[in-house]
Parts: sequence; structure tokens; C-alpha cells
Amino acid sequence: MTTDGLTLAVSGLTLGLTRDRRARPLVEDLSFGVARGEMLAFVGESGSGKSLTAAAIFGLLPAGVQRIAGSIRVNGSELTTLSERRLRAWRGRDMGLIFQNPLTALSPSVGVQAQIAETYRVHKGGTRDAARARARALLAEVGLKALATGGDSYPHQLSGGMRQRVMIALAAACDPALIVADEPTTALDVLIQAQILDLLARLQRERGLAVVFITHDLRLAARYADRILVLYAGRAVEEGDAAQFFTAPRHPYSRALRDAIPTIPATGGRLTEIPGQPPEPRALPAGCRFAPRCPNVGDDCRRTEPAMTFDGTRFACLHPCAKMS
Amino acid sequence: MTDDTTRAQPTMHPGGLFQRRRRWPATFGRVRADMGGGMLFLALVLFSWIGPLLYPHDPLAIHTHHILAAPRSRFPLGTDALGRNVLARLMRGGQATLAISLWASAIGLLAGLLYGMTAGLGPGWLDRALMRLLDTLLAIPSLVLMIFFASIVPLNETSLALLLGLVAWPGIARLTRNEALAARERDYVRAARQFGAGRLYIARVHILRAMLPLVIVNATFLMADMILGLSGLSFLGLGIQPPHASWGGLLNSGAGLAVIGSWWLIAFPGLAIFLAILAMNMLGQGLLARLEGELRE
Amino acid sequence: MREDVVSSGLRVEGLSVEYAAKRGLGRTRGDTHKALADVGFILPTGQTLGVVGESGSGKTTLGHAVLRMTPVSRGRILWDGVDLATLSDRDLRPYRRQMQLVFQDPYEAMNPRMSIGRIIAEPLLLAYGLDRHARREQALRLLKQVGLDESLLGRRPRALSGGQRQRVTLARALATAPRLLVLDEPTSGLDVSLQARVLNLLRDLQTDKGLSYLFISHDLAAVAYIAQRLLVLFQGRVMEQGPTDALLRHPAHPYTAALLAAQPSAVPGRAPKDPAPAMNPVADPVPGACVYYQWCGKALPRCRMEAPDLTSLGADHLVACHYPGHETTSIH
Repeated sequence: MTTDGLTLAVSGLTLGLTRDRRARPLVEDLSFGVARGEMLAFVGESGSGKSLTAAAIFGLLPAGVQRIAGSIRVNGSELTTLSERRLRAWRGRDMGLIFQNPLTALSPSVGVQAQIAETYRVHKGGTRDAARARARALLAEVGLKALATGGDSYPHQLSGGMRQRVMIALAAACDPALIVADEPTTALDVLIQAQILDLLARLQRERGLAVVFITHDLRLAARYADRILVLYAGRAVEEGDAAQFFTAPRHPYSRALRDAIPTIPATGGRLTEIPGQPPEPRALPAGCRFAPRCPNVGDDCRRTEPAMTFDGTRFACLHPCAKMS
Repeated sequence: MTDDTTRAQPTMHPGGLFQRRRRWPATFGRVRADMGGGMLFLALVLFSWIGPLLYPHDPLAIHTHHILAAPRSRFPLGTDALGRNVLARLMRGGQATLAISLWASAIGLLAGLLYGMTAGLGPGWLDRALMRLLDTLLAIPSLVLMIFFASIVPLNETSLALLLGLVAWPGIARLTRNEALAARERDYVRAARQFGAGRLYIARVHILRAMLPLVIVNATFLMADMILGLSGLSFLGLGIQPPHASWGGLLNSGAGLAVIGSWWLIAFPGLAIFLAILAMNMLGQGLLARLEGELRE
Repeated sequence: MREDVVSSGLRVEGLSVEYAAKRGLGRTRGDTHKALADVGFILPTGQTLGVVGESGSGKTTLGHAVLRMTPVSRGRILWDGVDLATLSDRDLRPYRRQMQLVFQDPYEAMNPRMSIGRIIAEPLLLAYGLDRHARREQALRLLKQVGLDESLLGRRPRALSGGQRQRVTLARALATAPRLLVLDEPTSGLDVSLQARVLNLLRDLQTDKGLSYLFISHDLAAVAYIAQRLLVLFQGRVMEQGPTDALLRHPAHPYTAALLAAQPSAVPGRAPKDPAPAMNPVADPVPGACVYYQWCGKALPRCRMEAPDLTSLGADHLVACHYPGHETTSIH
């Protein structure tokens, strides 16, 4: 994979526990890239390492977790060697982060216009008035015209959907090249969810943003993203074009994720369950990590950990599903 | 980023991945605050109760030839204006001070829990009435309240414990009531009600147990308040009556003489009060930090 | 209405829940907020009614009101012909066992200080006063029923995964051998693979025990999988009601159609052509108008003048709209 022209290029990213050196990594040898104007969806269950990866990109790993290996480049610049101080300048200016719960990310005691204006001024300078005007324009752009005029509003006065729009305005305030949205709509109703993701997709198109969209819902990934990357227990198991991916996933885990989703109208059949649970990072099985839960498992799966191969999509499986299912 | 350093009460907050973890300053070197505070308090208890066994001197005995003697070998902490042994008085005074404070805390705690639980679990009108009453009581400065009652009842150990307990319970009552109100809205309490649980069952199983750590923490802080309150009363002459000793009483009688050079009359009782309050606060802070850690997990 | 037709099961008529509205510091006397207005439905034994709506639509209030966990202002809750809405707390007690609630957030629904064994055994103690030994035996049986291992008995809720927690609360709800479960968004906090497992389990339990479900959700796909009939709520009012299949294939109410359009479909495609309608939560309702008037993309002058009644579209399909949609907005 060539990293030229990619907004975000991650290669060989490995994250592990700081204390417990014998434990296997939480995220292992993860490589992916996102181009300008492209949306890549990270799909996986809780604990698959998708949020950790986002945290690593921003240098915001939780205490006890560290980057063991790998490079993270944004617009060609290596971030992993930057000091905390230089990285802070990058965050917010060149890359924006959208959290699952905007209330933890927004300051409760500062108005939303002021928060956006402050973020803009910290990174881009300029006068207070210019920053405030910019904040109002951004609020209008994310569909909050009522908040863009007149007095300022505080986060607690807003509904969940409005807060998430403010989050998007904040993330996009300094014209970043990259936005990472970590389960941005999990707490929202379907209508609001659709609006928020429509908005994100619109910004991505209009501004040529590179977007990493983290979700556990394959349907959302298929509807909004250009490409999908499926993570399982800290490893990428499949990556490919969103449309193709949904019709013919090759990795048994991707297919199981797809088949676990009920359809409208219901088909009448039973939903496919994935037996067992994802492995704990301390107790990863030998060979393929999905082997204990896999319907296609063979003896070789328990011995060797499959490498990424390319056949229509990139996938890591010794016994992949048929090309068209 | 949320700022939780100013948080005084332990509250649950979701530990999101991006939330920065902060550690409560709960250790001094290698010694945990609660351990240090506990040991210090134990030392004071041993001093007051075991001390007189190892140093058997009568705190009331008057040595007419040794009035206002400075600390030296016969009287390690000197003597007072009547020639009484300060060390012996400090030990006996410790017994009175600590015992009364402990009883007062216990009374305040029990009354507060009962009152708060009644308000929090009872019907809305009762809650409003009880809280209105509480606000009224809190509007009167506690020192004024204590001085008023101290002037109309005979002062002995029992009445002092009751008197201090009287000003101690409102804080605990409010805390309990708020916790109970919050607990009522918790889904697991709703579930228990749906299964047919009564108010008493919910108070016992779902609220008291959950509150226990918080109550213990508050009890230690309350104990510190009681020691200070009792000492204050005694300093005003409304505590243990002479010739019996209490730390605050020793301070009171020594205050005038310390100015003319008898520093030992106030230095040692003052130190004792300071150490006792420090011990309780360290214990409370340490336990609070432990509780915070547990909740955060 | 003929009551003998559905004497077994749940039948709700004209159910309203109103709260005194709080305005600023003072309270305006007589001002009420209608959390539910005139809701009615029939839930025959062994069937599932899906209640669909967004937050604030009153769907959770409906679930709580049916269980008498929230005060009912008007209406009847007929359970096997007995009106639960008029019973005193004491008279209600035997019925409480027959109807249980499964909460949206299983973690919130369990006392974090109790072991799983005690949590499951709590209703056995409260409802039957069983001794310790019998409680343990029953708890084990219940755990097995929801496909969990007995090794979980001694654990605390926080040591469990989300899917395990939801199954524990399900096991607890089953402890009193209820006949009706009110399921409040039981799968919304779960990963898709776990959601599939819980949905399958719910189906199996229904088949085994003849349970009735009031399944509350904003996820139409989950509801479509489990419910025979749907009830669409908006601001406490029924917008549309009918057999799941008919309602999802040919939604008559514009709100139902909007919910369907916003539903992430299993069909891949870039950003949808029809953006979801904008919801404006700050708008005050227009008195006398259709409650959906301000949000509706197809509103006509009549919708502002007069609120539509629930009218029959035939075949058990009711809709509260002056101009029920005729175009077949099938998802395919």
C-alpha cells in the first residue's frame, strides 16, 4: 500500500498494556489508509480495539496502554515522534475527534459559540470577533441556525442530537484534514442518527474530509462509508469496498456480523448468532483468533494466524466464504 | 475534558476512554492517608486510656510546692496554677474529649440516618415538611444553639454528647435523604418494588448498604467536627466542668497564664486537639479516596 | 367493544398519563403535560406488540403505566378482564408477579453490590419468601433458561459483559413466572451479534412459555423481527397501529415512513437521496393541530385546523392522519 496522497496512513500499529508485558497486544499490526474525501468505517464488537485505535491516532491512549510499534502519518507527517505539546497543536487543527457522548467533551460552563470560537482562536489566531463570526457560521453550517444567532447556549440546554451537531462543528472548526467519529450516534434515536450521519457525510463530500467512522453497526457502515475495515480482537480481519463488502463478505466473521442483523421486513427465519464470546486479550487462542467461534474452522486455523491476502477484498482467513453468497 | 479535581462528594462518572484519569493525592510517601490517620488516632486513644496505667498520677492531686512548674523530669509536661500534673490531666482529658466526641458522632449519625431515610423514602409531603424543618434548624448558627442549650441543662458527659449530637445530625440527614431520593429512581430499586419490596426492605438492602462507605467517610469528618466543637464549648467554659479535665478546658484555663510564660499549659492540649482532628481528617480523606477509586473502577 | 373476544391477555383503552407541568420556579396550576394521550391496544396472549417511537414519544411511560409503575390519569388496563388501573396497591400485588419489566440498561437495573445469584433470587425472596436453599436452586434453573453458566452466580454485575447482563435481568424477570414481559429497549445497548442472541432467546422463551411481550424500541428492524403488531407513538399519541408486515411494507402515516427511511437498511448505498426530516424539539405544539403537523413534510392546511382521529384503513390497520400515504414506500 502506498502512503502517498493519503490523509491518514497507519501502518503496523500495535498497542499493548504498559504493565503486563506478557499479555498479547490489544491491537496488533494494524495498517490502513484514508484518502481525502473518503470515509472509512471501522466495524467491530466492543473490545475489538476500534476505539483504542482512534485514541492512538490522537495520542490520547488511556493510562496503562501504550503504542508498542507502528507509524501514524497525517498528511505525510509522522505523529508518533511528536512531543505532547506539538501533538496538541495537531489535534483540533488538523484532525477533529467526535465522541460518542458529547457531554463529556463539551465544557458545561461555557457557551457553545464561545467554545467553538476559542478552539478556532487557539489554533488559528485572529481576533475574538472573527473567531465568534466563524463559530456562528459553523453552527449554521451544521444545521443549528437557532444557535448561530443571538445569545450563546450551554450544552445542557441542547438535545442529544443538537449536542452532537455542536461536536461536529467543533471538530470541523479549524478545517481539519481528518475527522474521527467514535460511535457518534450510539446514544441517539434513528431519525437523529440519520441526520447526524447525513451531516457528517455532507461535510466529508463538500470539504473533502477524510473520515474514520467507528461503529458496531455494519448497516450504518455500509450506508455511509466508502470502505469498511472489520476488526476482531485487535486485528483487522477484512477490508474492502463498502458495497461489495456487504453483498459478499469473505471473512466468516464479517459474514456473521452481517447475518446477525434483522432485516425489514423480517424474513421469518432465525437470526444468525455468533457462538461464544470474543477472547480476552490475556487469553487469545493460538492461530486464528476467530477460530473458536468460526463455522468454517479447520485444523490449520488453530495452528497458524492467517495473514492478509487480497482477493476482491483484503481478508485474513484460511477458509474464506465463497465470493458471492 | 471534565474537571473533577474539585469534586468533594464521590459520585459515579462514566470512565470513557478519552477521559483523563486523575489520582487522588491519597498517599504521603508510602503511607496511605487513611492508614496514617487511623494509626494516629489509635495512638491518641492509647495515650488517653492506657497512658494512665503506665503513668499512674492523679490528675486532681494538688502539689502546692510545684505551682506552674515548667516541664522537667518529675512533671514531664509541667503543672498548672494549682500545681496539678498536666500530663495526667491531658490523659484524663483525652478520655473525656474522645469519648464524648465519639458518642456525639454516633448520636448524630443515627439521628441523621433515621431522619434522612424517613424524608427520602416517605411520601412527598413528609419529605417537604422534614426538609423545611431542617432548613429552619440550619438557619440558626450551631454555636448559638449549643450555647443556648448548654446554659439551660446541667453539663455532664451525657448531656454534652447529646448537645453535640443535636448539631451534628442535619448534615448526615440531608446526605441520607438525597441518597435515598436518588436510589428511589434507580432501576434496580424500581425492579425490587415491582417484585413487591416494601420501603423497609429497600432502605435496608438497597440504600443503607450502598451508603455505608459514604456514611463511614462522613462519620470520620463528623468526629473531627465534634472534637473541635467540644473543645470550642469547653474553651468557652461550657464543657466539662472543673476540676475535671478536657482538652478544651485545659486550653481555657491555661490561656491567660500562657501569656506570662507558662507555654506548656496551652501547647500540649492544643497539640492534642490538633493531632486528633488531623487524624480524623486524614482517615476521612484516605477512605474517600479509596471509595472514589472503587467507584471509578 | 365486546370484551369476551379478548378476555385473556392485555387490553388497554384510552390510557392517559399526565404530569403537572413545571414552568420556571413556580408551578402553573392546572397546566398539564400529556405524556400519553388516549392510547389503546390489544395484546393477545403469546403475542408481541412492538411499540415504536423516539425518546420523548412516551413509549417508556406506556410500559411503566401498563405495569402501574407510574400513575395513570385516565383509561383502563384490562388484564384478563380485570381493570388494573383501578386496583389498590394491595390488590395489585398478585398481578404484579404476572407482569414484569426488563429495563433498557441492564447494568442500571442491578444493584452493583449484589452477586448475580442474589440479584436473580431477589424476586423469589420478595414474592414467595423462599429459603436460601430453594432460592439458589431456582436461580440456577433461571440462569440455565437464559443460556448462562452457573459459574456466574457469585460474580458482580460489573464482571459481566453487556449481553450477559441483559440475560441476567431477563432471568430475574422470569423468576415470578410472569405471563407478560414489558421489554424496554432490551437490545439497544448491545453489539449486533449479542443483539441477535437476545432476540433469538426472547423468541424461544415466548414459544416455550406462551409469554406476551410489549416490546419497546426505536429500532424498527429489531421490532420487525419479534413483533406481530406495531404501535407507532409520537408525543404520547398513537400515530399508526397495525400488523407489522403491512405497516412496514405500506406505512400510512408520514411519521412511520420517516422512521423507516431513517432506518439503516441492509442495502448498501451512499448517503440517502431523501435526507431525514429535520426535527425541531424547541417548537411549541400548535393547539388544535395534528401533533405531527410541524414536522410533517406533507402537511396541508387541514392538518393545522384539526387533529386527525385514529381511523381504520381496514384489516386491523389504524392511522391518525388526514392524508394517509398511498404510495407504497416499500424498502426494496
